[in-house]
Amino acid sequence: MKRKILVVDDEDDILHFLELVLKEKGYDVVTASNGHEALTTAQIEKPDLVLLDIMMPQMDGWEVLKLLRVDDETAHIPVAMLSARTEAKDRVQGLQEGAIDYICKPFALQELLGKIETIFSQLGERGQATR
Amino acid sequence: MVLRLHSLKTRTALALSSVIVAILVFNGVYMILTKQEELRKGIEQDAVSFARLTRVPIASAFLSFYQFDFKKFRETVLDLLAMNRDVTKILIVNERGQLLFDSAELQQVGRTPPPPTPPLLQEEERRAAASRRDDTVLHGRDPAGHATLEVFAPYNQDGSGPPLSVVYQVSYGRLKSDTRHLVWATGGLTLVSIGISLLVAVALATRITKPLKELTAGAREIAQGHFDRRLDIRSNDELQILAESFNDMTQQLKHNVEQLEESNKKLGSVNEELKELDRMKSDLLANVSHELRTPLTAIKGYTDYILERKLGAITDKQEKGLIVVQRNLERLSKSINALLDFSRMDVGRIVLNIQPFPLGPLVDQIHTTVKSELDKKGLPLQTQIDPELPSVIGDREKLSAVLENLVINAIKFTPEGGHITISAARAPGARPGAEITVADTGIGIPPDQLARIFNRFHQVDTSSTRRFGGVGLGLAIVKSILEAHDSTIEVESQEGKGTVFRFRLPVVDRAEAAPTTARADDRPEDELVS
Repeated sequence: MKRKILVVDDEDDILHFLELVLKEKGYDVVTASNGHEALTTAQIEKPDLVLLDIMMPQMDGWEVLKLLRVDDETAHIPVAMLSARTEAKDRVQGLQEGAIDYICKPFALQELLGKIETIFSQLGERGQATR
Repeated sequence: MVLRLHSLKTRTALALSSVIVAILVFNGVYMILTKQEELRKGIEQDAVSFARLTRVPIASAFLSFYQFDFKKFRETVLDLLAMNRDVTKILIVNERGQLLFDSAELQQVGRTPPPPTPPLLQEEERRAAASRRDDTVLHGRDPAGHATLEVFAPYNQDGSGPPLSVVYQVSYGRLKSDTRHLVWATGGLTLVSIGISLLVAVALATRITKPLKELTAGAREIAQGHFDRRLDIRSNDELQILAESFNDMTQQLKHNVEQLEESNKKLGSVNEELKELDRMKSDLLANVSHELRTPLTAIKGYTDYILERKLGAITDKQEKGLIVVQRNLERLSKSINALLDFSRMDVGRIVLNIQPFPLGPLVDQIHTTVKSELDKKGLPLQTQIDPELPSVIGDREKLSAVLENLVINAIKFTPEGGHITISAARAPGARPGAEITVADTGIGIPPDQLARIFNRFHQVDTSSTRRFGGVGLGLAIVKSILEAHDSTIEVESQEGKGTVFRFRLPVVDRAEAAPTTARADDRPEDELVS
């Protein structure tokens, strides 16, 4: 079964690039260009992973992360933060709020794909262990 | 404080009263002595006058009645004697000094028959006095040892009858009792005066020290910060002037303190503003970096993707072009990282990953990193690393940034034909350390600019930004990192000749150096991956 990834970013260029790359890599990709859209899409599509940008207008990535965690239907979905903010405190905050990884922009393509693969393989192991 | 003030008062009182007591006692003693002398003279004069007045009646009574009417003689003599209490005895002697009569006889009821030859006066002096034709006063002592006076008053010396002398023996007994009286009276008076003067002295001392007390209390309150306290001293003397000066001073002090507080407040708000500005600036830097990174992400992503032939085939020429794009993207990315790194350093603390590592490989690595820059200007980079130097202790990556920044800086400001030298050697000093220098033969730094080169965004002149490029963050980053290592960077420069940057790092003891070498050797590869 294809893994489904929700990509959230307010920058269309990055959104489209990620969609292109991830689809090519064989993932099922859904996108959202703001926080509200991200929440709705997450509820409807039930993705296996969310790549979440932090600096977005109106509702930023932190808030989206918090709301995803509050909702029972989305609480279990792993979220990887994707941000141009590279400060240590942001990384720490991300991990404290329950993000599974923190990827800094600009990222090397291979690095991003490698990290996503790692996340899924870890989830697979954990999923098998709990089931 | 209280004790000293108390003693000041006591001292004043003591000083005042001791002077008064001394004067009073001296007065008393002087008065007593003078009065005593006067009394003594009085007694003597009385005796002499008495002798002058009574010799004739006594002598004639002796000649007329002594043998025939003793009773009458006795009455006459006793009446006369009653007139002067100082005279204790009357003697009558002839000119040869023979005692004819002693008033002691008068005490007897009957008359004792006179001895056939009258007894001679014992003392030569008295016999001589008896033979004289004028009055003689003799000082002597009675058998009990008290001072006595004898007045020899001659009679019939002109030859009109048998020559006699009436001798008056006078006692100073009255002097003694009168003196005792005098001493009591004067002493009592003196004591009372002393008592009064002590009271007055204490009262005076209290009055004199009261303004001082007020002054002290006021000063203490003012010292505690009650600048509204005013001293109210109306003693019409120097203390009042002092108090007024003190009040003026306090007023001035209050004014100054208020001014100080005000300027402190101003400084505080300026400081707040500066902090706010600094924070805003850091935020701005972070936002700017974000704005720079986001488009870079898309550019880099697509470039990588195209180069991976994921968007179709590309020609060799296209690939070469894209590789240039990719390389320049790397460089841009690094610049942005430096900027963001710096704004982060500024906001918070630099977290160091302190470990011992050998300098040699690090310097080699830097050589590789800056090779393209060096080659562009054809500058050689010489390294003089003491092979005996043990591993230095610090954050390898951060220190690598320090050296790289210093070298890049040197390359920027060194014209073609010059050279750059990195050297490291053991530093003299108590703790084991290494001194690391980066020297160039560049344009140098004017002395007035030396202190400012470590400021952010500073370049020696604004035109140098255009000439030499860079955002002016390098040296500020160097300084921050070294400060985090508890080290400082020193700079020496001569315009036109070159610049030397120098800093120190701790090194491990030789014994520990060996095992770290292997681990540190692996590091450059980590560096490349990250």
